[in-house]
Amino acid sequence: MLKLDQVSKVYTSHHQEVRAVDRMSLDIQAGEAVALQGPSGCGKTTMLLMSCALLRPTSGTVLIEGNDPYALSANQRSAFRARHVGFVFQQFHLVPYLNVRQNILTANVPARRADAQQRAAKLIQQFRLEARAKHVPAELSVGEKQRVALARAVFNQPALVLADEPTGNLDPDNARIVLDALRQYADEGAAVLLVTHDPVAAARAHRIVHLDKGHVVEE
Amino acid sequence: MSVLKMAWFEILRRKRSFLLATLAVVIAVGSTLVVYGALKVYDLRATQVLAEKEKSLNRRLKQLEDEMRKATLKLSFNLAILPAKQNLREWHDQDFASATMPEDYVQRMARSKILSARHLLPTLTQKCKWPEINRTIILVGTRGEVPNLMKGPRRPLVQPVQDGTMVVGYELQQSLDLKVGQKVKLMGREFVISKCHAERGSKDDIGVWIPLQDAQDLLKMPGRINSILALECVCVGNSAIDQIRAEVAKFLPDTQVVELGTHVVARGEARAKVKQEAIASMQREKEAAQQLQSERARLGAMVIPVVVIACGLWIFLVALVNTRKRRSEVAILRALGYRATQVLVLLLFRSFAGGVIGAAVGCAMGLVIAGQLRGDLNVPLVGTDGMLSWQLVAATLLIGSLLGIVAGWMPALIASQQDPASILKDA
Repeated sequence: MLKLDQVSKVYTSHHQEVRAVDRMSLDIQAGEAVALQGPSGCGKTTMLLMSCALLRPTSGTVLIEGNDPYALSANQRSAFRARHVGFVFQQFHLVPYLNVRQNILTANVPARRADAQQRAAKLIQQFRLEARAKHVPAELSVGEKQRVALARAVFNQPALVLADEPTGNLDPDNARIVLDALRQYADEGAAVLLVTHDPVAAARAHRIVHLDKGHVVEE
Repeated sequence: MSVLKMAWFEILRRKRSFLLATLAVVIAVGSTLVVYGALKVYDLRATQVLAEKEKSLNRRLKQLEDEMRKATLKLSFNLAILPAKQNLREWHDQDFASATMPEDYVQRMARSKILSARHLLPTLTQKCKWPEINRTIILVGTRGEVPNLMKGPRRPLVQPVQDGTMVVGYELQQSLDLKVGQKVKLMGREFVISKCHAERGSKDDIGVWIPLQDAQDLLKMPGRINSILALECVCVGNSAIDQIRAEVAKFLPDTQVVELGTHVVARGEARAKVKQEAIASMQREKEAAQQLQSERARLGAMVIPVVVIACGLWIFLVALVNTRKRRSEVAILRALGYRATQVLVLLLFRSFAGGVIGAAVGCAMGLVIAGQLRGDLNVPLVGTDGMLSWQLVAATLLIGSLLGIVAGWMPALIASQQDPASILKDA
């Protein structure tokens, strides 16, 4: 489902090269949840962004469902992301002026699903957000916000979901709800890549990959 | 959900910054219309004032001309009506005519509708000997003025010599030691001296004035005169003398008219000068008004771009703040698969909507204020002959609407082109 082959990312800062990810390879199959762990600055987020077709690697190949998104034009890559990749971030990144239903439906703008309203209603129910459907993010708890972000990530039923510290700001109950949902989504046949410091969260994955200084050091 | 719906929700959620941007357009559009309206009002008022001044000046000029005519009336000229066969060289040489004409002519003149001659004075003048004292004199027979019947009675300029009396010139009075009240004999007929003239330095100083009837008898010329003096002839134009000659010729065809003294030109020039000065003064006023008008227009042409640029800058800053606040929103939308153009539309819509709404509100407010400035001026607010043209209103609406897009374009474009990965990574 997601295949990274000898992928490297080099940043240039103040005429100095920083190798954030160095010839890393990773293969995640459909139905598999993989946790990515490592110390701060080891290249986890860089790897995540390259995996979701947002950050072009300096070298190496990224394949999502067998397609290289970086071979596409910018607009094609945007459309590709909308169809194949879902995201969950620690900071939620909800649109502040839209309510819960509208935030979930933002995923439909590039995708244009015919059953968008039904799909949004189903996700609201699934993530137990019925009472909050008309509330804007400022009126939600952090757990509710992350559930909205998760509902938005899976709205288009992408084959790949990437989650960057999704439980970093959550209490245990909300963290459990989110992790259960991600695991369930993987069990339904999608690939889930979870970047986390939390050993409890990592334990919910099928596989844990340790990164250090841009290299996979342990699987 | 669509990008435009999202943009509208954003506006409703962040009303304050939207209203700030809209207010800038309202000010730009409104002030443009108000400035143009005010300029037009000033122009119309200046034109109105000038027209009133011109009207008043024309009225005053007419009055002045009339007053001038009256004031210069005393400058009217005197004529002598002489028999047509009179040799003028001889007349100039002797100061009196040798040829004669019927006394009846003066009555015909008085009955005529000749309005130009006011006082008519028939005389019979001859150089002759005063035999009793053996002196050459100029004997003048006069009957006093014959009133112009068409003009009504006027106070006579020359008083008639009373019957049985005589008026003598200075030289005669001095040399003969004549006195008023003294009885003298002329050609055998007795007269009482009623008046002695002061020195005139002319042939008048050897003149003797007696009643016309007496003169005709003494000179053996009954019913004859040799000149009619027409005094205070009224000026009716620069060619007045020709006109008077033509008028006299109609009634007295076998006469000729000689001008005794002319002030026609001076009088005409004085009046023309007054008129010229008034017209020049009016012209100066018009030029001053035009200069003021062009200065105002120049000021307006400077103020309007400054206001529009300032408002554009204001919208730019509001848009910049807005897009900077929405960096993470832009990043997540791009990550969700929104194209850069969709994000651009999302960000730019608020500037566009602000421009359109601001232009409409600004236009309405501008028209209301311009309408107030119009006051009692009787001109339509908008129209071809109105304070503001339709083209101007349409152009202001269009430019106001575009102002939002133009000013908000750069911040929106920059934001839509941001790399979402770097924003999400930093977040």
